Amino acid sequence: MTFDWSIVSRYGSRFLSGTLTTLQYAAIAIVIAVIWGIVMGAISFRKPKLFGPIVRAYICFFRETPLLVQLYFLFYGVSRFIHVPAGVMGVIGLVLNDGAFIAEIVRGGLQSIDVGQSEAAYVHGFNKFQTMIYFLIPQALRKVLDSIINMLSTIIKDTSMLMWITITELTYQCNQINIYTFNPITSYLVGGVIYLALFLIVQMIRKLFNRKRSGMQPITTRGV
Amino acid sequence: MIKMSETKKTVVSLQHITKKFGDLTVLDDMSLDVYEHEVVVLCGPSGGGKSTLLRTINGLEKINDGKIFYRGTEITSHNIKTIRKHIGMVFQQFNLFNNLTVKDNLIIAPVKTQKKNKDEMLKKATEYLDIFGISDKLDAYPHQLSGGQKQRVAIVRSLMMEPDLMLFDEPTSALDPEMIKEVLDAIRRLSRMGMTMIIVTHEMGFAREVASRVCFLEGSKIRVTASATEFFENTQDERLQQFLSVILRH
Amino acid sequence: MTMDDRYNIIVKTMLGQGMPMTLKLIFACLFFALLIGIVFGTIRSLKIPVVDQILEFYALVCRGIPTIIVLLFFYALLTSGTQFWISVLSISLVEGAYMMEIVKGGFLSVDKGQWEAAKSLSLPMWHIITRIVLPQVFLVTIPALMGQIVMLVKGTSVAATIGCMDVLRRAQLLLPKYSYPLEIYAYVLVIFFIMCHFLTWLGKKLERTVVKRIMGDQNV
Repeated sequence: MTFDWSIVSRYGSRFLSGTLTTLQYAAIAIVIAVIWGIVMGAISFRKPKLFGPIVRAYICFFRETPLLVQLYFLFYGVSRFIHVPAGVMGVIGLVLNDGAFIAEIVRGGLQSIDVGQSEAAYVHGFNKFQTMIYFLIPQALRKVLDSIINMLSTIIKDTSMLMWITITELTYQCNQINIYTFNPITSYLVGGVIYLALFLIVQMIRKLFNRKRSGMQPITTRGV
Repeated sequence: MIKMSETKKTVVSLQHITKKFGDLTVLDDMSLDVYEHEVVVLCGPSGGGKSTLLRTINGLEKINDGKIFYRGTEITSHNIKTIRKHIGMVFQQFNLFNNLTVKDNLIIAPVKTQKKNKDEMLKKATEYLDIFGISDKLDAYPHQLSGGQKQRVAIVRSLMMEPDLMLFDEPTSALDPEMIKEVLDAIRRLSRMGMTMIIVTHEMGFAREVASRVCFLEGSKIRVTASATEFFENTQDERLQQFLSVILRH
Repeated sequence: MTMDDRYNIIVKTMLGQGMPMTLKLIFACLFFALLIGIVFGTIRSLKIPVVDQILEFYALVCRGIPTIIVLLFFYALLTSGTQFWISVLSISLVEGAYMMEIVKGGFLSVDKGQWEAAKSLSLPMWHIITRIVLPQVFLVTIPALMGQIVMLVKGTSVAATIGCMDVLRRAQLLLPKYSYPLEIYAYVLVIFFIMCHFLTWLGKKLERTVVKRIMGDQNV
């Protein structure tokens, strides 16, 4: 068995539609997960009496359980009581899982900000919420931008799990093509190359942002 | 003095050594002899090649040209490991082994490389630490020590090998001012014991006090070699006068 | 569902039948991933031309491609071999690449001065590596390695998708009989959470006690 170009051309449209579905889910999930992650990260940083422990428990639980099982739980379990389409459940799963990771990243960013920043805001009459929105979160995001863009590659890879809840994304299509052709080398290699290309694109975006950022800010670390 | 010079033996002899980093020549055709019981201080502006010179002697830097002799034997890549056993080295950044306690830092080399008895070495280590005033730190890890303590442990670590020659690469440059004295005191003690030493340092007062000879390195050459008194009081060299006037004013 | 049913589901089926397989998966993957990580991570720290580029490409592929693609590929390609070994192969390859990068980073974080000091004391190469460098690599990489081990434990759940009879697969097989997917999957989540949380706790504990005691704050 070898690589077969005819399969690529014959099933090109399947690879394409799988890739587009993957990108679509990844794009929707990253946007919502970032917003969700910022909110959760900010709460877990501030530790309010009631929500603090709940949010921390959520972050801890979703970071320390497999995405696959979370998706099964949502799709086969929760769906019985709340009727939503598989796609919506898929996005919810990705947001809850990757959002928990983003929340930890954001919390780390918030913790690294000098206390003087919030003190300066308080003495100028800003309340806690305003301080968070105007000063702390923007600064934290700038610090952790690289890690958050990196989460995009994680989410793209994570969408592959959605095939197990009937979503016809790229891995699902590769699997189907393999069933039709009995040629795993072609079907999964093409899929793998597509994922790798997406990964490299995200890494390029990372580099671009890092370069832009290092150009904007004064260089603080001195060479030896 | 004259009588001594008749019998003095050469410990290290650098003959026309050249060292380049890429296109940059750091040591240019340099020669220097160091005799037994001598304390040679190397000074000069940074980038002058002082540390590199020191590091070539125990093979941490390979030379591009020239020869280095240790007690008459030319140092080559083959015998460097044997010769190193006789040469102790103290670094600017201490370089104590982070994962080992003070005790293990001190005994690992003699026990592992010279097959010395562990208990004897432990006894010796304790004695040395006592001499240098840090006997209470035997079981501490390096991160628990102050800079001055780390450097004194590093000196003891070298002493444990019973070296014939000791090299000091800016031993006090990474220290806070209040700790410099304790390390210099330790080196003073070694000089009184008659240890042959080559020291790279910016501590000119100290150099004046302990050095048998002082070398001024600049522009990858040794510009001046003189006895301490001559070096600090009667120098004719313009660049050295300039250097001294800047550094002594501090 | 009665309490008897719950006992059957959790204790007899998931823990009794599924857990041994899950643990076997975890330990086998951990063994091979660490083996790959330590051996190739050490090799990468030496920066040998060509070899380093090959290993870099291996790391790139494993970081860029979902594990499930690797798993399905080997499952379809290898006609012999049990689901267990195919899962171990796939997960170890992917996780091993991450471990390799961590170990490489650990080597690079060991200060050059440590090598120089060891050389100037004429310690033999073998001792420099086993007594000085490797212990420090191990100590500084404990936090990252423990994090990656948690990822590995979670990652073993994909083995269920090709029919490896682990906790998750056993749970799924119960569904036709007990139609309570919400509850049954919740148990699976809790079982994984307990394992992962224990490992996270252990990692933090090691970091706070062993690593901090020996290496201090700066080196962690």
